[in-house]
Amino acid sequence: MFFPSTIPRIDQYYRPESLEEAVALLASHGKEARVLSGGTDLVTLMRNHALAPRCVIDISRIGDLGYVRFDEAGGLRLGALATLKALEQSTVVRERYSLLHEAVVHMGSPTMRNQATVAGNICRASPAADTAGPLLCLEATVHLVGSGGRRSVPITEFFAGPGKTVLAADELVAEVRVPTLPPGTGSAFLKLMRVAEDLAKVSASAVLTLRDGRCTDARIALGAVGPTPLRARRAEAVLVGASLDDRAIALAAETAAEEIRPITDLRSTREYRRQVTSVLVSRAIRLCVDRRQ
Amino acid sequence: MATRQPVATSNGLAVIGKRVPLKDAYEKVTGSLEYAVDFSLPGMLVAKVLRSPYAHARIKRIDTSKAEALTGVAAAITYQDVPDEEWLDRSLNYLGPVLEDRPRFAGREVAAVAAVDYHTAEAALRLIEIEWEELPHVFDIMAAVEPGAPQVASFGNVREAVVEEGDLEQGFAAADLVIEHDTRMGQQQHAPLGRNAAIARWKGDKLTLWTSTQTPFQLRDSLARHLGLPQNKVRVVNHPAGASNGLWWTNNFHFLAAHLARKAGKPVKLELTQEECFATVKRRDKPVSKVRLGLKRDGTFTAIHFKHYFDNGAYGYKPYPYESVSDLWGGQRPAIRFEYYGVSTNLVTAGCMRGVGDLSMGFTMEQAIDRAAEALGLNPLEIRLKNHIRAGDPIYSQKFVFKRLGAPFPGEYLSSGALDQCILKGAEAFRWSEKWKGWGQPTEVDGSKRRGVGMATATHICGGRHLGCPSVVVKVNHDGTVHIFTGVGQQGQGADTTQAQIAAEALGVPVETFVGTHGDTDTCPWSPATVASVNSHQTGMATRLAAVDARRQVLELAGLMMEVAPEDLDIKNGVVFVKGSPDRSLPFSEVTSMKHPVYLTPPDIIGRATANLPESQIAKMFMSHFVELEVDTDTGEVKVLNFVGAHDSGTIINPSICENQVYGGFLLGAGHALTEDMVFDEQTGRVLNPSFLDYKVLTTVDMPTGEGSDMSALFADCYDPLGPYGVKSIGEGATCPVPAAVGQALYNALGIRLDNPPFTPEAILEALRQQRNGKEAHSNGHAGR
Amino acid sequence: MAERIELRVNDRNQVVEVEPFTTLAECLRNQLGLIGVRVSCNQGDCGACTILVDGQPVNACMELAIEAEGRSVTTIEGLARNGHLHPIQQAFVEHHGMQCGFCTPGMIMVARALLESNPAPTEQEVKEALVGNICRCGSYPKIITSVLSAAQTMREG
Repeated sequence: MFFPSTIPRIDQYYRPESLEEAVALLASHGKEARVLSGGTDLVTLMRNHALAPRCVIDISRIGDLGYVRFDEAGGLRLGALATLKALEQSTVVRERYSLLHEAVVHMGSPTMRNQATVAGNICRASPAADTAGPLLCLEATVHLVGSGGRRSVPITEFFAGPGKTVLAADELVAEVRVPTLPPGTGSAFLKLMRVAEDLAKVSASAVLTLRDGRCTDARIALGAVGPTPLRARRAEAVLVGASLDDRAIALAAETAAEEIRPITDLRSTREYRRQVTSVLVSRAIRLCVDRRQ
Repeated sequence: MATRQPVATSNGLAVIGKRVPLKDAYEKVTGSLEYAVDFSLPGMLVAKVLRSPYAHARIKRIDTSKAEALTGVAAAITYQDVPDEEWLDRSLNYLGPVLEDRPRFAGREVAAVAAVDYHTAEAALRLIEIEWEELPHVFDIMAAVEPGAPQVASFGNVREAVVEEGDLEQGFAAADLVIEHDTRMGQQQHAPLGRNAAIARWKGDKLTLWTSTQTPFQLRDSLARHLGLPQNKVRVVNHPAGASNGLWWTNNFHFLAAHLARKAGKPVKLELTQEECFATVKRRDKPVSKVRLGLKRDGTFTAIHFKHYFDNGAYGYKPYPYESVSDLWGGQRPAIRFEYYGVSTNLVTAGCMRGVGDLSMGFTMEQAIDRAAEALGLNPLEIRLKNHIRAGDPIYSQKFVFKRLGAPFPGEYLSSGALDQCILKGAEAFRWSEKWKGWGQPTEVDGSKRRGVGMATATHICGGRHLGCPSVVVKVNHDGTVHIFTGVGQQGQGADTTQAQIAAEALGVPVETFVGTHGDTDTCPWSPATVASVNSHQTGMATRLAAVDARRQVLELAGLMMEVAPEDLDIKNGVVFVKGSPDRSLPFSEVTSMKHPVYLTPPDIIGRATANLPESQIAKMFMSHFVELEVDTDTGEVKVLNFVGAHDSGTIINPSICENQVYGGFLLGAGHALTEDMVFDEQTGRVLNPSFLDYKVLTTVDMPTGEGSDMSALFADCYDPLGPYGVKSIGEGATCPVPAAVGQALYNALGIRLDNPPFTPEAILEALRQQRNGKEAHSNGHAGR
Repeated sequence: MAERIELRVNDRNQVVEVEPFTTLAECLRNQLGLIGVRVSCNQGDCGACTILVDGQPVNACMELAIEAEGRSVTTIEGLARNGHLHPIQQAFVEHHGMQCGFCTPGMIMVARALLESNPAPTEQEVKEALVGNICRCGSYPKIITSVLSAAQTMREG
């Protein structure tokens, strides 16, 4: 056993100028290749010898992919290279997708947010990926480009397991699209950490729509409490059609805690995660109600 | 945040008590300060270390031939290449061979290679073939003391020591109340920012080793002994260290670098990774402590019986945790018996970390005192004020040292002490009387948020006679600038600055004229080590005397030049003048640059001193810490809101440095109390969180500053009769009271006693759950507490 | 397969030969001698190696050197001008915003980026900006004071 001092040898480094070119490189190098954009995950994994790709495809210089765009019809569009910082600084994200803003401002350090991308965060498919919960609640679609062409996948079908997505070996995320939210909607993201900068012990995201005092749509997502970031569908069902009184909120919170499959790891315990999931869900629901626009 | 000015204890002094910038501040802010990891030599090879995957195993066969045959590999070493003997750390933090055929913890060095680059070195490690035989291991300290436990060390698993005074049975017989209290603590790691490296180079039969260490001379002496070389054939060149907190002393990797460089015939750099720093060198000794405290109804302590088991890990050799808790509560002369058990286990070596026994044993003792105070209807301040030690009181903690040396105990007394000021002034600054609502009573409740306050006290040594004599040289250059040579380590505590302040004060020149060289063993005089908070007080004595010696020589010269008796002259602020006639003066630099009438060159002025602590009197630092925190009872999250650290460190040499020491002590203590905990694999004993990713230390945002929060340090008005200019020390003690203060504040916020830090949200929610269940069980007529 | 790349480092053009696996931190430290790029955790958890790439703070340990080809890099060594400390450096000296000094360059580089975009930060904003920079000596209160003081000095020009 030894603790490595350096990144394993990389034989080839490519800097494609378009996504299509990157996809072609991916297709020709297969499993030997890894995509580099922000580097915050890949370089760390290589450093710890958890990954030793022979070939690195650096997509960070592909032009015009760092965008965060919004229009009423199409909603929010996040380019493949949109950084967490770009989201953090976006007024439209802060004002219209407050849960996404809240998730981003508590991810890593400001320096890290400068390097890390949203696409990288979801492609890593960590159960604790903080942008995943908000995107699940916002029912985002992930637009992929591969050698077979383009396709889109609902984010709710994107995660396949810890560290696994439905991305094929020759596919890349080209864009993440987030629909606009109907009037009467509020959202919230809450996260518990060990210290002020940390991965989530548990995170809860919620997007609720209310009309005439009743909940017409409810979406709740939970992070770090199962093999993938997940939607708490039964808890959502408790809320839809209900007036959001204390009893309904408590029932939804309890239901959410039953839907998760938490484990004990270095960050927290199974019991704690279960217990605070209810607390966070309940708090997130109340915040949504207060914040609805 | 408020920047509180400390009480002025340095009236009439020119340099002591001033907020002098750090001597190396310019290098630090420009990034030019050279830590050991920044040092390199031409033609240097890099080293990598192969480590044991097993907690305890025997190497039946090891073959490095394939590794050595790899192009670019210059040398590989195993236990067959090093002396078959154990080296001993002077403070007993290590006893073991450099390499051996029976590694005793997972992560222990097994072999090392030197190669042209890391890829080659790592490839070579993969080519080393080993046939293993696994041996039984033991991880838990209480299991390791059982008869029949797997034997870890050559000397058995347990090292014992006792300090006792008075008749314990009588003491307990006289008690109206006996409190029994047990604690376990989590596993703190030094978690240094900045790593370390050892760069070894042989020229003929002379070894030079560049590294960052608190103990350059111990390292030099240990290397010479181990390698069978005279001390002038080993040179250690010390570099500043990143936040060492007791980690970088004389460590096993230093020896590996020396052996590798000799075998390779080239300079070798062994630079540790973060994971190696966290998981293979040292950690704080993990304690299991049991105390019985006997008291009279009025709170007077009559007897203390303490049993302290602490983990030495695989290669620690300590019988004793370097503590002063046994002295702290001697104000009313209780009978004491303190038993210490240093226990070997198959986990990474454990040993000293900032605060040592006064942190861990202090935690247990403070909690026992709290329980007693509540039972007797006393508040936490009263019971401490009634029992703590004061100047002139006898102290006994060193008795066992004399016993081991076979010398009669001369009787020792405390030279100065102002814990009462720390308690009272700290309480006032904290507004304790407004916030304290009684035992188990929150200061404020708002929904799920409950606030509570807590306080605790501690003491710690300021060096020790047994460490030996620090020596210092103060050399005055012809142009009047001054060079100071010491053996102090530089790990952020500012000793190079504070020693320069002491010397500047004694010499009468501005501190800006000083430059220091510290811990180059070929050019600096011998010093024991930067351990045991030795520098301000003990090293400072030698520094002052060396400067006084230089001053005497300057005055003799000035006397010749001015035709005045030297005793009629004085030096202040770089000017030599006739006492009482300040207009008859010469600039300091004019005196030192003048041609000597006999030597025909300007004189060489070299002041030197070797000084140890006097017999029979001992100085200790004291401190009282106050903490206000808020707990969210839904999530168990704890936020520290306010902190006051009140310290008696004698005269304060540099308030800014001392404030930073208090804040740093809070950071380590609060980390230990709230988040820091090493996790070991239950099967293999491997450290599972050897990095900042999962070993969580507090961040800027976690510190209680801004938004209505405040941290402050204040200093008692106390002049120690032994220390230079009344100075004591500060560094280690600043960590000690924090976990107990946090524990008390949690109790007051929640009404729940938590005995085993870290007090994580997980532990707090579990305790709240048990409290609820307990209440349900008591709901039929029992009021409970 | 080493490649020659051009970088602009502290306002000077540099040509370095790097392997694809060389990190930017390794390149700056080992090839250009910029030891002020402190490497501690080597995986983005401590902030000690923070530098500016095209004006934006970056953990130099998490970026490959080859990625930075053609970029403009500023390290702590590039802050002082003609021997005059930058006001942030000066404030750290005066207010003792350091103990061992290992975190100091990273702290100062983050502070510089912060004050560039927010010349009058609140104490809380300073704390949040520095949340990824570990100071194991616990000098945080004086580090915060240093940054706030530097901000004031810089505003007053």
